[in-house]
Amino acid sequence: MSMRLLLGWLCSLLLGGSIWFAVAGLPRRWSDALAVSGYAVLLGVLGSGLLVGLRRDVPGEGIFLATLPLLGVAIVVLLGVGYWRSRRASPALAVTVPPAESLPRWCWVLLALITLRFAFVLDEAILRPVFAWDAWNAWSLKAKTWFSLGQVPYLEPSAWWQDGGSAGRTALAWRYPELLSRAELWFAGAAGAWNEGAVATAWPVLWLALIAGCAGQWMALGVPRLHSLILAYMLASLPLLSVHAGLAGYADLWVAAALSFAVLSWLRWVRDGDRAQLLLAVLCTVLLPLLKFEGAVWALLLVGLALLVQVPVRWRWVGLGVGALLVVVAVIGSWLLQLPWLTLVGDTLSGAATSGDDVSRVTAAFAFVNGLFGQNNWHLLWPLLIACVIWRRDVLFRQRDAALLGLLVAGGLTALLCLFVFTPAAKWAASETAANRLVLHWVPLALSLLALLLRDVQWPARTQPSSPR
Amino acid sequence: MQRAVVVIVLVWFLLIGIFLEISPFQSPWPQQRYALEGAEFAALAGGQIDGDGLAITTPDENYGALLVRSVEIADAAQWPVLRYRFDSLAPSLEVAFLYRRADSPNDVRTVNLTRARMATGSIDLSRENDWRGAITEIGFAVYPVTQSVPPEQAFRPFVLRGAEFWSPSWTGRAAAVATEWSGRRAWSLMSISALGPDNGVVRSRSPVLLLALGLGFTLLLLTQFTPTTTLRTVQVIVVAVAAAWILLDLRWSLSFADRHAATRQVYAPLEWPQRQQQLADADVLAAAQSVRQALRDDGADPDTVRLLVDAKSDFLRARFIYHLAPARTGPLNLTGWRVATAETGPIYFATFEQPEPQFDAADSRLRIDSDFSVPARQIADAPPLRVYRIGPENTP
Repeated sequence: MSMRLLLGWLCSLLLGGSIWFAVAGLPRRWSDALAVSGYAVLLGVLGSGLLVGLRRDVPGEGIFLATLPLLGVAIVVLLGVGYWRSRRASPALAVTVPPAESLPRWCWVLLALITLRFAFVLDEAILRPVFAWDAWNAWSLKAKTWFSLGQVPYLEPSAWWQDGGSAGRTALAWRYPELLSRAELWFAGAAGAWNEGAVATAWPVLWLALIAGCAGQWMALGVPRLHSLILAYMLASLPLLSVHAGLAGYADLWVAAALSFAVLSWLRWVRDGDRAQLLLAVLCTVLLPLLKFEGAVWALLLVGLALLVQVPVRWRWVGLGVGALLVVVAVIGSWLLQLPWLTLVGDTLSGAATSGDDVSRVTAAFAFVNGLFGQNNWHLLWPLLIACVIWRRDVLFRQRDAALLGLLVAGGLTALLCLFVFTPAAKWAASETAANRLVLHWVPLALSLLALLLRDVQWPARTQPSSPR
Repeated sequence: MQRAVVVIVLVWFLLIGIFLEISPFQSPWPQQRYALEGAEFAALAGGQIDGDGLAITTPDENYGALLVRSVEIADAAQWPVLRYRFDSLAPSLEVAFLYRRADSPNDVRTVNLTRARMATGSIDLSRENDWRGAITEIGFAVYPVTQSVPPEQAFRPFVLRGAEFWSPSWTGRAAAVATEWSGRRAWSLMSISALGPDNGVVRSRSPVLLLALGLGFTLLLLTQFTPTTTLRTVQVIVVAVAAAWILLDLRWSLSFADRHAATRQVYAPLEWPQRQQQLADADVLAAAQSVRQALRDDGADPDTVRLLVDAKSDFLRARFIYHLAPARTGPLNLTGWRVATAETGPIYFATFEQPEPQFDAADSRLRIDSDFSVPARQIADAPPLRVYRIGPENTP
C-alpha cells in the first residue's frame, strides 16, 4: 500500500470521524468509541466520494490532489463545529469513561477469529482483480472511465446517439446511482493509478467497520458487552457477508452498513432521545438512495415508520393516508419528470428487466426460502432468529426499540418475499442470483434484533446488569 | 431425562439417515470393490510413473491433463460409488470424471467431481442418469478452474494415486455426501450471490438444514420430556447451537481458505499491474487492446468515437466493454442499430465470438437482418474479433 493511498484512507477516516465529532461530540463511552470507528469509515469514504463529485473536470491521479483541499476544508469546518458544540455543552455532560467490564479470557478467541477473517478478506480483495459481475459492469466501469477522462456523464441510449460532443457515455448501468463509483475514483486517485486492488481495500475495511459499528451501537442500546462480542463474531462469521468483503465491488455491503447504522442510530434516539443519533440516522438514510435503488426503498420504509411512530395514535390512520397520498404524488411527479427510478421499478414489475422463462411462484418461494435456510449463506441465523422471536416474544411487546426493529426487519423481508415471489423478479430468485444479495441488506439488523431480544437474558454464569455503557 | 436423551439420539440418527439419503435395503459396507492404481492410467502428456501412482509434471495444450484407462464394467449400476485419490492437487485445478459406454463408444460422458478435503474423495454415480450399461473406458480430466483462474497460471504438478469402484452401501453413500459437505471449492461468478449453488450441481441435502432441524427437534423433545427444567433445557440448547455454529463456521473458514489459496497461488507473486493482466478472460482483454489499436490505425481516437460492441453472450459483451474502458462504447443490446439518428462523427463496431451480423465484402455492407444493412468497412479481421467502421463514406 503506497503512502498516497494511506493518506487517502487517513483523510477519509478523519472526515468520517469529524462528522461524528460535529454531530455527537467526542465519544466518551466504550460503546460510542466502537461505534464511531464503524461510522467513520462509512461516512468518511462516502463523504470523500461526494467531494470527488465536485471536481468532475479533473482526470487521473490529479483527482486526489484536487479533492484534498475540499476534504481539508470539510474536516476543519466539521472539527470547528464539533469544538463549538462541545464548548457550549454543559460541563456536567462531560462524563468520564467508566471502567470497562472485564470479559472472560475465551472472548479473546472471538476477537482473534474476527481479526483472522479480516486478514483473509483483505488479502483476497487486494490480490484478486475486480471479479464479481456487477462490480465491473456497474460501478467500476464508470470509475475506470472517469479516472482516465474525468467524470463524463452517463446518458440513456437515445441521448448517447444524439450526443454531439465526445464526452457522453452509455452503459447498461447508466441510471445506477454513482456515489460508489465516485468513492472508487477517490481511492484510484489516491493510489495514483487504476489499481483495482487499492480500490478494493474499501470493502474489507467497511466489513470490519460494519461489525464494529453494530457492536458499539448494540452496547449503547444496553446489550451486555459479552453478548455484543458474541454477536459481532456471529456477524463476522456469516459466509455471504465475508464474500462481499473479499470479492469487492458490489454495493450491497454499503447498503447494509448505511441501513444498519441508520436504524441503530434511530433506535438510540427512540430509546434515549439523543438528537445527535437522530442526525446520524438522517445522514445514513440520505446515503441509501445514493448507493443503490434498493437503498431508496429501504430509506422510504425507515422514514415512513419513523414518521408514523411520531404521530399520535389517534392520528395514525390519517398519517397512513397522507403517506399513501405522498407516494402517489411522488410516483406521478417522477413520471412527469421522467425520473429513472420509476422506469427501473416499471421494468422490474413488468418483467422487462428480467429475462428467461417464467417460473412458478412455488419455485420462486422455495428458492427464496432455500437461500435463507438451506444454502451456506447465513449459517443458522434465520432459524435462530425465528426461535428467539418465539421464545422472547414478550420482549417485542414490552420494549419499544425491539418492537420497532422487529417491525422493520419483518417489513424488509416481506417486501423482498413479495418482490421475489409475486413479480417477474421471481426469475432472479429462482436463478439464485439476486435474492440473497438483497437479504444481505437486512442481515446486520436481523442480528441486531437478536441482540435486543436477548439483551435482558441473565445467563446463570454471569449476572451483570445490562445497563448502557 | 435418560429417556429424552435416548429419543433425541434416535431422532438425530434418523435425520442424518434422511439427509444422507441412505437406503435401508443396502448393506452397511460395500460387498465388492474394484481398485485401480494410478499407475495403470495413461496420460496424454507429461505423465510419469510414481510408485503406484501417475505423476503429471507438465500440462497439456489446454493447461490441464487427461488420464484414461480401459475397463471392463459389465453393469455400471453394480458399481455406483467412485472413490478417487489425488496428491498435491492445486486449488486452481478442477477434476472431472470421464467414461465411455459400450453402447455409444463415440460419446465421452463427463461428471464434475468435488475436490476432496482429504486425499480421497467419493461420488455416488447412481444419481447420474447416464451411468448405466457396460463401461469400456474411464478417465479423469484435470483442468484450470473455469471462471476465477487464468488458465496459463493454473497448473501445478500432481499425482493420481488411484481410483476404486464400490458396490452400493451406506458407507459409500455417506462418503459421497461427506465429500460434498466438506469439499474444496473455488470462486465462481455465482459466489457473490449464493454459496452452495456457486460450484455447479448440488448433489447432497443441506447440512445447515440438518443442523437446524436437529436442533429444533432437540428443543422440542427437551421441552416435552423435561418441562420443569427450563434452565437446563436452555443451557443444553445454547451449547448445542454454539457447537453447530462453530462447526459451520469452521467449514466455511476452510472453504474460504481454499478459495483464497487459489487467489494467492496465481496473484501473490505478481505486482498489481501484472495482476490486472492475468485474468481468466485474458483473450477478451487482448481483443479489447487490439480494438483500440485498430481504431488508432484507422486514424480515430478510441476514447472519443462511438464504438458499438457485441459478443456471444451478455457476460462476454460486458467484459469486452469493461476492458475497452474508457472507450465511448455502446452495448448493442442497449443501443440498437440507430446509426441514422447519430450525431456527426465516425461510428465503429467491434464484435467478439459473434458471427452475426455477416459482412458482405462485395458491396461493403453489414447485413443486420434480411431487410436492413449498413455500409461498412472492415478494419480488423482477427477471429473471433472483427472490427468495422460504419457509415456512408465506406460505400464503394
